Amino acid sequence: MAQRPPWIPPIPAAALERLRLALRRKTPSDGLGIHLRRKQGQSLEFREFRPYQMGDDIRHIDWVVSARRPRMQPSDLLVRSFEAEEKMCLAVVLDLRPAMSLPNAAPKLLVALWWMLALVRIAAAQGDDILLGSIFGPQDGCPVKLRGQRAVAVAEALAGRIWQARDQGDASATPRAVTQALGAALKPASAVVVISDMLFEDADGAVARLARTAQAARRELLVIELDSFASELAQPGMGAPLLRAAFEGRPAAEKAGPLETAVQDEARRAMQTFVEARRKQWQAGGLYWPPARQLAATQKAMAEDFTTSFPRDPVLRALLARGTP
Amino acid sequence: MILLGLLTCVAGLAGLVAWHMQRPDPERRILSFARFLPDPPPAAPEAPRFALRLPWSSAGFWLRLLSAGLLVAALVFPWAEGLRLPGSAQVGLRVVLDVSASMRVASGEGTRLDKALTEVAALQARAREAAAGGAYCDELIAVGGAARAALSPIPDRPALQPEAMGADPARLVEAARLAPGACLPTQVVILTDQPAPMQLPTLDGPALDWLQVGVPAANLGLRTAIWRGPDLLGGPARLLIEVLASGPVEGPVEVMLSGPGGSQTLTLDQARDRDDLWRAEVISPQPGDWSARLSQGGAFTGDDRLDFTLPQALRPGVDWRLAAPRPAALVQDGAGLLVAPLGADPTDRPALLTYPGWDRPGAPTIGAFLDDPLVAEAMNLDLLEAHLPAGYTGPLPPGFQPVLSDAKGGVILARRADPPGLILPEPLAGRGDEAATLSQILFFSGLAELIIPAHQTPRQAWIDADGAEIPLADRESDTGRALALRVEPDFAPAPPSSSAADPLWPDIALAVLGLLLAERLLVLWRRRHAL
Repeated sequence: MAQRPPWIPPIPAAALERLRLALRRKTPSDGLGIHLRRKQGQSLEFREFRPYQMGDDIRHIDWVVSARRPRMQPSDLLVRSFEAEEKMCLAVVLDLRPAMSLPNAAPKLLVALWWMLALVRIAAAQGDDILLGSIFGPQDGCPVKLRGQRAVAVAEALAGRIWQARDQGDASATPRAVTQALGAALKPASAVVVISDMLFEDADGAVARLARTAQAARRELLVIELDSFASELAQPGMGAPLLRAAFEGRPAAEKAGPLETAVQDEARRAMQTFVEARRKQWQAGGLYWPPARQLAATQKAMAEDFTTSFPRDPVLRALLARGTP
Repeated sequence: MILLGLLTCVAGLAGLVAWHMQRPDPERRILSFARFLPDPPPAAPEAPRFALRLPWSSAGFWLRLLSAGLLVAALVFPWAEGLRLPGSAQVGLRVVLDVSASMRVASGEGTRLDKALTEVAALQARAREAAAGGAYCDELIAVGGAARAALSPIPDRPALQPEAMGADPARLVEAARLAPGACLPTQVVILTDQPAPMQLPTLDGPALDWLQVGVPAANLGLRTAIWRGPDLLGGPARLLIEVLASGPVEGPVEVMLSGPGGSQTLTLDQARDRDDLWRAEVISPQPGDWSARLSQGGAFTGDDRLDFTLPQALRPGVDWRLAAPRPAALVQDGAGLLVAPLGADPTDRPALLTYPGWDRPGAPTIGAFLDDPLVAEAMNLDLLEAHLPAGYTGPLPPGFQPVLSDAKGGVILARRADPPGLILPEPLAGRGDEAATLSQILFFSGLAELIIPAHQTPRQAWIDADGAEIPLADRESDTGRALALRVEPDFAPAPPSSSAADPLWPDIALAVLGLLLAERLLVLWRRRHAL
């Protein structure tokens, strides 16, 4: 029996399908969510102007264009017609910084790939369009559009390539994000899921602009924050003096020193402050950013946690429900 | 050298302990939250490289220590073996000494045994010299009729006397191959007056040398006495005396033969087929005890007198039922060999059965035949084929198997093994042609085979001058043989012992690899359980 590649989600495909059906039945509809908007039979994709007909929604009359008509008769009124959009577009954006490959024993990237592939499988089963993109990675600006059952196979192949290339980046350099192509590829009424530890520098605001784009045009931005702070501290040898290597623009330490509890606490507080500031920066309509997921220290424990927590994850429930919680 | 080795081991142990006491180099780590870590204080003191904590409780330390110890052992053992071999080899000398009867033959001032004992002392001296003060042992195994208990160490002048018995040289080799006792032989030397076999056997481990002692001494020895009973045509019994010569023979070979009828001196004639064999024949010797003595027996006296007993020559009894006349040498007593036409019941006694075949035309050629003495010696097959008798086509009596058949499948000659029996054509009488002669040759050859026993060697014994019997004395007669080229034993360092031939270091190396694997598994197990 062939061994399952590590980037394949530890949840079987059939279980994901059952999970999708169960959540759709049970999740309450308490507002206009992403799916509900799409089910109106209309979209925000403009198609053409056409003469007003009795029964048309008066809110679709374009008064400015109609006023330019020579005579202002009811039959001269023009209404906007839109492309009928029956499918959702799910955009999954991965953070592919070298930091996502840490810790080596239980990389955050692995959980990110599990999330990506699980969401792709669910979306493909619903017939939704899928857009896969990345920030800080080699796939910057090259989003991949998928649809149908073949989307799963393509996404798995893509995940394999990402996993194999995880150690090829320069960890010491400050990563730069290029997000224009990804922002342009986002359709209206998309659900954009960003999977990251959210600890990246965004000095030029590229990621922030992508976030604003993902929240505009009736889109929603959902953030899956992965926190590996505890798992990295639990790795073997962390109690001994360490020599910090250069990382993300920070030079290497010249002397070795123990990672004492006070230092850990200080770093923890700094991280929380940093992430809270980012949360406030991105705060706008359509943002759903639940608390971070604490990752385990081994791949096996991570897989067990993922299998247990994924069906209950608020981001998944928000995606499948008729509205965000 | 030993001190140097000990110092090396102590230094290695100290180095291993020190290696375990040193602090490991700080590990270079990449942390995803590294940007949020404060800088270490600039005046942070560096920890000393070595920590005063003895690693006695570390399983990894003991595993590495054991691995290092075994590695040292694997290196030291072959080195020590190699150091010991060139300077002080172990020499174990085993001397196999022939003490058979011929060793009493004079050789120079003493006997051949005296000469051999001198050789033993010389061998001891050389072997001790080769040992160069190292381990040395020797043993002597005297072999007469059988091997005696080993003498170890070899005394200065062993009190050995030749046995009154001939011995097979193979006994000497058997003694050379005896399992080692207190002395592990590395060199085996056979000392004997007998010539070495053409192919000197090899021993499992020690080298083997065959040293021949004793100058050649001409000898005449009574080899055997052969008695032959009266033949079918009434010929007398005969006694054949054979004498074997070893070395040059001067003058006539004469034997004083004493028997029931008195004494006579026989002058033996040289055999036509062998230069070293002399024969004399006595016609109609009387049954009883006889004694043959060589007047000039030569160097070895143990074979100069042969006593033997001749049996009574009896006329064989037969149950003759043929129409042909019975040979006068046979007695018709109704018992013994049945000579009758085929059809008589021959099941319980020896039988010669005939059928009429010569007076009837047979097949043109001979058919299948077996390698049978009667076919090979008594018949000329070409002549037989020219006058081939008709074969017997009826069923053969129980136990008889065809030996010679004609081309039509008729049986000309059949034989039974037990009791002995022959079926052959009835001889033609009253005719002088080739067919009649052939028929009689075949018939009487078969009859003689069934009646006349082969040459008999009567009970005989060699007696020496003291009147003691010397068994197998004829095997000692060859005292006039030439001495073989002498090859001195080489007391070079012994071939590796069984332990050295099967070195220990591969096993040790395997054990070290196992320990290293265990140590690595232990490290992995600890890492796994540290999470």
